[in-house]
Amino acid sequence: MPVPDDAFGLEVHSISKTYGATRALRDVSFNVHRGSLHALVGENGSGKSTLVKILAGVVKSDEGPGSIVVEGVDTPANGLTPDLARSRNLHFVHQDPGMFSDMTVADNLFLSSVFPTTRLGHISRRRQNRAAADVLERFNLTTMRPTDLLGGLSSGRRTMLAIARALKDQADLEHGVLVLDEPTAALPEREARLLLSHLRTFAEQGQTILYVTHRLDEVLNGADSFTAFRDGKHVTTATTRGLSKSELITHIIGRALTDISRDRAPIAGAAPRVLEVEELHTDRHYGISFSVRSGEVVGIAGILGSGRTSLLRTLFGGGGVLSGRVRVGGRPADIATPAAAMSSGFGYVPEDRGGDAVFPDMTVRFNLTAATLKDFFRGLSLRRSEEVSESVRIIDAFRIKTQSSEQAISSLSGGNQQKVIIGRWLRSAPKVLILDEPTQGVDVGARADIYELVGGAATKGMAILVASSDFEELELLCDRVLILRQGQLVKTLVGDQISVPRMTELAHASRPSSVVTPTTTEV
Amino acid sequence: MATTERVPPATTSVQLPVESGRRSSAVIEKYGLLGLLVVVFGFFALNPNSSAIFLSPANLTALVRNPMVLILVAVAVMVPLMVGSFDLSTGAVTGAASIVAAGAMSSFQIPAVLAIFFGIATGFLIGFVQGMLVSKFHLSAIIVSLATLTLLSGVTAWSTGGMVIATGFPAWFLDFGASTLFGIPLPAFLVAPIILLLWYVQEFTPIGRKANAIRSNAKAAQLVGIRTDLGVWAAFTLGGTIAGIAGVMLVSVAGSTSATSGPSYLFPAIAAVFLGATVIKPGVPNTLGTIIGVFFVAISVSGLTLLGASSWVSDVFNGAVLFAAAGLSTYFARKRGGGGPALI
Repeated sequence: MPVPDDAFGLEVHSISKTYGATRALRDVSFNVHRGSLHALVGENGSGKSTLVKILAGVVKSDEGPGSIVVEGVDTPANGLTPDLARSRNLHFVHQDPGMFSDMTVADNLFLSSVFPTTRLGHISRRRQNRAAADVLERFNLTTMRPTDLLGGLSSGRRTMLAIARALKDQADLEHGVLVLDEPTAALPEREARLLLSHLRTFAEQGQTILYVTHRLDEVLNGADSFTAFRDGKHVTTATTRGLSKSELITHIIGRALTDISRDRAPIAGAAPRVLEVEELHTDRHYGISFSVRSGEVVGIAGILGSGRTSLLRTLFGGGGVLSGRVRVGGRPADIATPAAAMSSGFGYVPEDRGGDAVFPDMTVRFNLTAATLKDFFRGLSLRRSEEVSESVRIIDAFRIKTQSSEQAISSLSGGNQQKVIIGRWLRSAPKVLILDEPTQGVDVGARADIYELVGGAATKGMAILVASSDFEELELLCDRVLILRQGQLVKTLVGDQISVPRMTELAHASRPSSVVTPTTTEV
Repeated sequence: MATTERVPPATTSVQLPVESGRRSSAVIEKYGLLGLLVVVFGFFALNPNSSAIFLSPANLTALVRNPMVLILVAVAVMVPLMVGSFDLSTGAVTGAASIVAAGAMSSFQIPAVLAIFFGIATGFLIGFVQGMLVSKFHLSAIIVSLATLTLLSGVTAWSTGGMVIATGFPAWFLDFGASTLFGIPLPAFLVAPIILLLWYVQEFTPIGRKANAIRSNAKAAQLVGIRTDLGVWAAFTLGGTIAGIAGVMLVSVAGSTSATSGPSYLFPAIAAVFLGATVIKPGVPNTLGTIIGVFFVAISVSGLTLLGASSWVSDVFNGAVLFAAAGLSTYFARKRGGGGPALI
């Protein structure tokens, strides 16, 4: 079924949405070409999710002339319901798509619709599995079996299955609109790439795909076109051809990111070495040696499984040290437990913010002061008023968006929670601050703030060790980058050598390095 | 979704005034149960069918005396709950401690002071072992305490032979439970400092804060330098010790004990703790809330009994209270943004 090039798969006309005094969407209009992969970008709160919910018929748009046109069929936006959306071939995969890891692939596929049953009314396993196999085949997911447990699948494959579930009742894949809300947010980079190429095959068949994302690389390399929202307003819709990352960022946050990129004055060779790691062996690391000087930001680049997270965790009292020396400020550092590592001068912002860092039901203040309680305990009592004023100071200085220091942290957005966690450790003034994926799941505006905080701490003389799978981030932040591969440091990049392609190439090199003794160049 | 994520760079202050509606609902949340306690007290005091007896000096003294053991048991339930562990064995430990102390005096003629020590030590030891199993061997707290409960109920039934121990106690030991000073029952003078100390530690010291951190997210607590294993171990040990004290006090106040005396305190205690977790610091087990919860449970049951209700009323009441408390604390936790662990 040939599709004329200029046909729009999805047209959004003058949609507005007001929540009380907040105008979440203001007269938003844009069009998406049929058969294209279209990214919807914007900071948290810019209105992306609201639009997705309106399209899905879950949230009613304001009364008015707003309308949604799907492949030429016009529907008043205000009258959309979930059923109507489905009958218009608008399909959705939400951020948390409701997949159950202890159920089989087949069960997950049929949860949202009708299970094939026998004449007696109980579920027919045989027919269900056969139907599931058909769906898997149709959606090119032939590596899965209907009887596999979902829990055994990678997170990317689960999302693909969720997509198959959303589309499986549509007669053909040559038309229709698929909307995905942050499908890649929780995925490792490789999985995200796989998912995008999977989406690409649908787009090529004629599906119009609109997906919300925070990952700029995905927009630049994955999408055909994009739409940016800012403060509930439509900023632009354009092709991604010839688009640069900085232009994209400017569209999203309304200013350039360059003014936050730390000007990278070379670290004086005379600056004292704050952290020295010598011949560190654990069950996953072999002869790791490096040092970080005062005021230096050192990055660790490595792919998933290279041992970057476990290396940081080991330094912060995660255990597992077989041999080797770790010194902080010239003195041997005890890193047997997190508490010991803290008194040795380490601070640690873990990768898994929700699981390892946040006290979800407690206040922002509680979370900010959790690592430095001793500062507030004087005269046999915790000085609550001092705690509050210190928290307010940090909230202001770090531009943490919260109603007050007494708000529960879980009511904050991911980016603001991360700022609280970084604030927690910066106020403990560690000699060495370890950050693991400091901007994971953080929107680009908060990301800029976090870079500023980290850069500022380094300027004041802190030694900073940061691991990230976002090599762009390392390029922006680091004075030096160590490449970690299969538990070994294989290369050090300094200054101009630090570039995304170089890091990608070195981190992914498939053969183990021929270098027997890892090179550890010193600046 | 309808909030703006970033403050524009020019804005510096983010302390917004809380609307008054919010504040008044927060006040109701914080002190609602206290108000309800006053209402319940007023109801029984003014109701013509109960007021005469209810307001008699003897009854008022009893209203303070009777809940003393319950307060200790409730606090013993609360302490492990402060670090997120639910200890179901507290009533059984109280019972075991009471039987050890009573048996030592009555059957073995051991000096009362030593017997008291044995009773408290029993609680300490059981708590210590349970704490070790939970913190060091990572067994589930509920299962460990359930096993302890079952084991203890068997052992106490065997050791007492189903009999009530009611003789052989020195007079001063029984006097302590029965006397008053300035109209206040003597046990209150022992319970008050324990409560005050707990309240102080929980509210004003880093220890209380750390307990809260462990309850909220144990992994995160460990990564801010808190020894979570020690915290859990200590909480069980302290809870056991307090249950031990409660057991000894039970003998002194009641003048007797049996295999069923201690365990009967468990459900009122749990009801009081969960009720307490809906006030003062909603969503968090807290000392003052627990005390209010105990008096609420005790006064209600006593008043209902005065009105002629049968003895089964207390079970029905405690069950209903537990439902209400669980519902309310979940509701408050949701309202505050949620995301936290459920109380159990």
